[in-house]
Amino acid sequence: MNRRDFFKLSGTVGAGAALGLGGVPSAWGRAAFLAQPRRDAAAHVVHRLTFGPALGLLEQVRAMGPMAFIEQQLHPAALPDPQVEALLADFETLSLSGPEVVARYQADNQRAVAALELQAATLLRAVYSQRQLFELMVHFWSDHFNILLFQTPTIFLKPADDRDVIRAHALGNFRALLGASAASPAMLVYLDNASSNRRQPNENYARELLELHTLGVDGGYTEQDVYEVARAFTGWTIAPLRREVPNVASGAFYFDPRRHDDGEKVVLGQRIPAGGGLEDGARVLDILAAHPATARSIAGKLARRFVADAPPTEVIEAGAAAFLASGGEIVPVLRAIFEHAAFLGRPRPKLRRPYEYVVASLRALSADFGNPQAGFRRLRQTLEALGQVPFSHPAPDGFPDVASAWQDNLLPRWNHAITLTSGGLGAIQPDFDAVLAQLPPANDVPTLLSNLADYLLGRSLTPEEAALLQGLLGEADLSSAQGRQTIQESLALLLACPAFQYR
Amino acid sequence: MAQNAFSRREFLHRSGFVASLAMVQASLPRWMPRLAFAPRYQSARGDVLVCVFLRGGADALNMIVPYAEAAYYAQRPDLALARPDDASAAADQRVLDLDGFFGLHPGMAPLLPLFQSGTALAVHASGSPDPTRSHFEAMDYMERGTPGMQALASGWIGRHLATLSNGNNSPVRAVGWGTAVPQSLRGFISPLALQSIADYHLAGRPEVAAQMLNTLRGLYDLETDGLQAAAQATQDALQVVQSVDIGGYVPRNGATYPEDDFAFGLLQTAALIRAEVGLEVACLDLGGWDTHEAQGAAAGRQANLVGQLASGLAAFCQDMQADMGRISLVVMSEFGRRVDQNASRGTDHGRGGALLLLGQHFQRSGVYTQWPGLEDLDGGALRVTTDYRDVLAELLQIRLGNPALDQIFPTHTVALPGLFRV
Repeated sequence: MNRRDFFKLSGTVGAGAALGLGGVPSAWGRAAFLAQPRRDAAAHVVHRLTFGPALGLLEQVRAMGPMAFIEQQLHPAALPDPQVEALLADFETLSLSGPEVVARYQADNQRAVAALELQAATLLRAVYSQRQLFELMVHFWSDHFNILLFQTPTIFLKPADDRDVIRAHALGNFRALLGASAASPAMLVYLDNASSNRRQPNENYARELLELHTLGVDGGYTEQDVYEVARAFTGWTIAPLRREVPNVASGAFYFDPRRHDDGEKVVLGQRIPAGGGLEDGARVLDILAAHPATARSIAGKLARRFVADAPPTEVIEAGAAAFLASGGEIVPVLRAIFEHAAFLGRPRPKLRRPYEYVVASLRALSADFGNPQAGFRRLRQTLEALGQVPFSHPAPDGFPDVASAWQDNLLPRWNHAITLTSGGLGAIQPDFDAVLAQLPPANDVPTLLSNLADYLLGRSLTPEEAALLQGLLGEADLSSAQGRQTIQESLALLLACPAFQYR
Repeated sequence: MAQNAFSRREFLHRSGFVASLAMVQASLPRWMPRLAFAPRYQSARGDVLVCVFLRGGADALNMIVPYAEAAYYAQRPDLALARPDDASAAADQRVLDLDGFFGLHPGMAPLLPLFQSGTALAVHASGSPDPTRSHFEAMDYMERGTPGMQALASGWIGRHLATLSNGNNSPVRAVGWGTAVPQSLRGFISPLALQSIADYHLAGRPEVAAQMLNTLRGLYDLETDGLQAAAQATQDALQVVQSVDIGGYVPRNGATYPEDDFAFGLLQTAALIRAEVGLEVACLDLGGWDTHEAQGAAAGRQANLVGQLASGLAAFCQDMQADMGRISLVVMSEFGRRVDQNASRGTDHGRGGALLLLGQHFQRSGVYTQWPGLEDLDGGALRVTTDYRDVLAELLQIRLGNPALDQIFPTHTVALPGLFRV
């Protein structure tokens, strides 16, 4: 599909919905789908390509058009981000290398300094950054190349991985990202390659490299391929924390030829001749990154992220074709997905994962963090109850991104909506005045609800929804003290309601 | 508005619900469900099923140890556990003998009395027939109960609950401890993900919360997808879970649960069973078993996990001694690990593992196995000689009263091994 078709299509979304012509995704009940007012294209893009609506964002996207917004987001370097820079100015560890963190924060009461700064910075960027799609992609790759943060020594090494692997390549080239990850000290210890050797190769990294990072479980590799890949990566290691390696800082990558199996390897039918040394691993990554199964796997996962839990085959194929045509450039893959009819033409539901839900709520209410790290400490309890503390997924597959993994744990979401809106999150306080000031004036509850629904849900309320909400909220004079209470309850209900659970 | 708010609150009080709840709470003993509608929930006829999943591929060879195998010692120079008669090792480092061939990891000492009294049974060289060594695929297959096939969206426990009609409509019929429901429970209409009984209530002032819940119920009822069912389950469960006085729970027989999430899940399971609120299935996870590196032997990484598992299970059995006749507990993992150790003094993904069963209605004792030996291996790993579904099928049929094995395991013709009795 070319650009003109895309504009034509997005322009017809509203009309199609009004006539009931929208396609009916199988995962969504037909009756409910047809009955619900649909988000316009701008609102859809705001909900899918950002962590959720923030003050003025929807108006901005409606004014510039969804396609222009997408292009802007695909080029984050051109977007100034002064607010985030100011918020992160006092974070001491964000610019340190792994070995520097190792050297400076070994003391027992200091061990978690860099890890805690990483968690807080991640949250602040998600909430406040103008580069929303970039931050979403950081989130995406952090799951794809999952590393558990709170264990030794990743507690020292993951912060540098976040900067030098994930953030450096989040919208770059997949081969470069893969290469950075393979040589990342945090990954080398997390998947045990650091302690492998030629006599009894440790298969952990090799297996997850094939299954999770590249080809996918059905990507056509064998147990022998796992073994050969493990052989190729022997010698890729780090200087340990408690033993000196000449000329290598503790916690830094190095290649140890004595541990490397220098014989010939055959990976996916391709020969890697003997004597390749360090280059064996790079050869394996070349083979994997260029493989059609990897293109399908990455495109499929991105389509699941942005389109639907079970995305249509055509959109996966479009993404995979862009991946192969561009040599693994990530931006063309995303563009192929966003321009595909499956994305805007027939929107399908995607449940917000718990972390995204919390971030969306903070953005929506323009919440002020006070002290950022204290703020994160308070939110940690919420995220634990929800099951998604960043960098804490216990297995190498990363947090799942399908509704079935999250939908049975609704109560902590409702409780978060109530606690946040009632000011119960300590230093994190919602700014009702700022929210109301950007909306059209409302003197009565129905108008207020209508304004808030457009802002928070990106669509109008159904008559049934409006009746239920008004039944609870009554007919307050919004300028009175009681009116304040009504506004707070309205926001709590809209954050807790089904529609806000969806991207 | 003030008038309105008061009216709504007044309505709630007049509705009779709150009043009758208060009366019931005053008159029933602590462990009876303190709800007006409680008598509707009958206990199921079959056992309560407690299913523990060891995530990561537990190394069964260092849990139920074939210490009589020379190959065990040859292939694991740094990881093998000392024989029960090995005088060169300290007593607490040696395998605890079960039958002259197999013995327990010393960290499983709390479970030894259960093996000796016939309350524990291990099924060795068991597992899935599918050869995958991917954690995620193997777990998925195992929990679905259809190895090699993902066409069915449901899990084996979900199909068990969906096919068993026993009059139990409790909203806490099936609970997954944690923040998500495991795959094994899917397919049943309202499994509940539950972390903490004490924290399972809506935030805010009670009268406001009640109104809020009412409105949320209406809003979620407008949905037709999974969120509607999940919200319904949450709302129903809120009423039952809040009736359980977890703060006042006192384990019996001097049982002391360790202070970790796994044991807390077991304690809460015990509390739900004793509260008679209709619990039929509880699922718990214990993670960290992917011991590719520094696995350790009698001490170390795996030993810590083994100790955590054993002390938690032992506390549960001690607490529930009087009830163990109506409880079946099964511990499983997605696969075992290779026989030989790797360069990192760990073990890589293997095949056959062991099921651990706790209950009081076994036909056998100690270790049941069609032992394939450690010479004839499957890609360096213990062969699978007992399909885990045959064990579960017998448990389902005999102990849980569900004869619908062809629907629970539709791709498998079961061969009952003869482990359980009525």
